[in-house]
Amino acid sequence: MAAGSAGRRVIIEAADVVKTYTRGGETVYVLDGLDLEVREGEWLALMGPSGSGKTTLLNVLGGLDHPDSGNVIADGEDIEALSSRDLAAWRSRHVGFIFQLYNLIPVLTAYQNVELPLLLTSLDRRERDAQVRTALGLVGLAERLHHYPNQLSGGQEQRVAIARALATDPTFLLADEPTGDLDARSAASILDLLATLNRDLGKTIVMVTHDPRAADRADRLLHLEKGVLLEQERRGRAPRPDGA
Amino acid sequence: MTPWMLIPAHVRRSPLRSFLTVGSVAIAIFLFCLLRTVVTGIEATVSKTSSTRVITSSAVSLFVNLPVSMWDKIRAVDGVRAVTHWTWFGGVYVDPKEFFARFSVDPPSFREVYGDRHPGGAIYLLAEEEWTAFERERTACIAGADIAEKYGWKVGDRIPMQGTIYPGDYEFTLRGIYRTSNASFDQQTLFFHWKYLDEMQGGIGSVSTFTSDLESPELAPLVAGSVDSQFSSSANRCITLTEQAFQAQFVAMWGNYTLFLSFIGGAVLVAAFMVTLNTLLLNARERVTEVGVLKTLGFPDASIGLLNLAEGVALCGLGGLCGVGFSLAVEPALFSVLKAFVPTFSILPETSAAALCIATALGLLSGAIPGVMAARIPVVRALRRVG
Ligand SMILES: Nc1ncnc2c1ncn2[C@@H]1O[C@H](COP(=O)(O)OP(=O)(O)OP(=O)(O)O)[C@@H](O)[C@H]1O
Ligand SMILES: [Mg+2]
Repeated sequence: MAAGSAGRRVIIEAADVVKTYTRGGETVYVLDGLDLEVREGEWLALMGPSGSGKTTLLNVLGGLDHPDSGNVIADGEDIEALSSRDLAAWRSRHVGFIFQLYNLIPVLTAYQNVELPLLLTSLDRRERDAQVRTALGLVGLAERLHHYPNQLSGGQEQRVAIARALATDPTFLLADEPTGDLDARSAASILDLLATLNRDLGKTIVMVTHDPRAADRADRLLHLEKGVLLEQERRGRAPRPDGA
Repeated sequence: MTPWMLIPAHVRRSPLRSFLTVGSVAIAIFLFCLLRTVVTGIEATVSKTSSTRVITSSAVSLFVNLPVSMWDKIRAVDGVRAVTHWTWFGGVYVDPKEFFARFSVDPPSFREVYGDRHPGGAIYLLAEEEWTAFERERTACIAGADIAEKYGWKVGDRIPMQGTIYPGDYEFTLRGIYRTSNASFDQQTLFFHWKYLDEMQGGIGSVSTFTSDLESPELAPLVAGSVDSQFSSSANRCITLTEQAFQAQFVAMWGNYTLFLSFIGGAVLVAAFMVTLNTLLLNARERVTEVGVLKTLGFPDASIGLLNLAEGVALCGLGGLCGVGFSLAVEPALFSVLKAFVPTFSILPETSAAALCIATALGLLSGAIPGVMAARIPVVRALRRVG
């Protein structure tokens, strides 16, 4: 599967992306002419020191933030050209976000959290219900539909968050340190879940992580340093054959 | 497009906070209804009265009487259809604390001007036999339904009364219990024969006021002018006013009071607004991440703003409904408490409607501020707040 992704179509293409912040009158180049290609079905890991701009990059790729210059073409769409309203609609169709702190809505049950993105689709109540149950079943929480986030463990919360990201069957998933707040066992099971999504359902995943073990599970690892991405030799795994 | 289920979910998750917000609006709206009703009650007294009646009283003071001999002269003025007179009695019934108005009147002319013989319809509603019984018997009296109910009086009862301004032991026989057709006239007055009073005093020969009923309302200035000028050089200078203007004299005393009440009402509403706004801002602060998540998922900014606005309207609207509902429920109880101070107390539909509009406006206003803030915060900033 991993090897095969190299031949597939490019799903995200970022070219010469620049993102700066001004701090105390000084301009900081967080992304400095960054290029990136992500192919369909690929699981890409991003590493880098804290403050190197990993979250900023995910936000740009997911249409949450605008770069100062450069282009992001996702699934054939130049997302920089979209109005903020259209961009919101585009996000709801194409991107599933997974956060380090899960970001479930505490007053809603697991079921309602997963149903939330489906409210933006044209599905009726019964179709939504089927979709929510499928997504929660997929992450192994079919028995916890009506639990509130504070009645779930961290690992379970992250599973609900993943179900929410999956519910609309988006084009790709963006995960920002999805195991960063979990103990080793829960982290491993979340990674197993992501592996299943990637391998069996062909989900494209871009995952930021600080954890080398998490990075190991991905097909490809890139390092973000000084505003650009560097390809990294993998420990324990041979680099993928190029194109062939 | 808008995740409405978040509103009940939030309300359920912080029931105390929601209850306190709804409660503060409910109390403010209740007070608004109460104060506004006192004001409308006072205003109604002035505006609802007919101007086919004009009232002549002493130019010196309301407490100075006029000689009864003026009666015939007023009756003779052009445009006057009938004239009756009222005399303030005072007196004590059982205990000085049991206070209600008592007037001695001339029943036949009273009936002409205020009763079933008035061509424009009666103010004081009594059955024909009751009017006749009242006219026929020298010691007969009639009483308003409110005091009759309060004291448990029935037709035929004897009502003892001790004179104060006009000393003596009086005893009246109740011959009718009236209601009024117009809210400007209370149902808490006792009327008896002036002749009985005159006899008991061995001839008082005077009355407090004359009420003249005119052929038509436009004649009021003309009649007033000719009555007043007739007596202008006598010892009994008098002043003739329309019934409306006459009552306004009393209401003028209330004038500053209504302003004061309106001021209190306004202040309470402002306080409720601040409480609600404070709660909603607090809510908004706690929900910044939620806003970030909703935006990430693709909910448009406008939906998120609308959600805040709707929450404000829902909380304040509920508070408004509770406030109006409560004031309607306790209306009769309130009237019995306030009877001594206000002529009428009935919550007008306009007052209820205004109260609900104000509650909605409070909600819109206090929901708009966090709503605009939530709609405008960039998604990245909302997510970074905590994460
Ligand atoms: N709104 C902002 N204003 C100013 N500077 C910002 C803003 N957002 C991010 N930055 C800066 O941009 C840089 C990159 O931030 P980013 O969150 O992308 O880093 P990161 O690689 O995700 O770090 P971490 O591993 O700690 O999550 C940081 O130096 C940060 O301080
Ligand atoms: Mg980060």
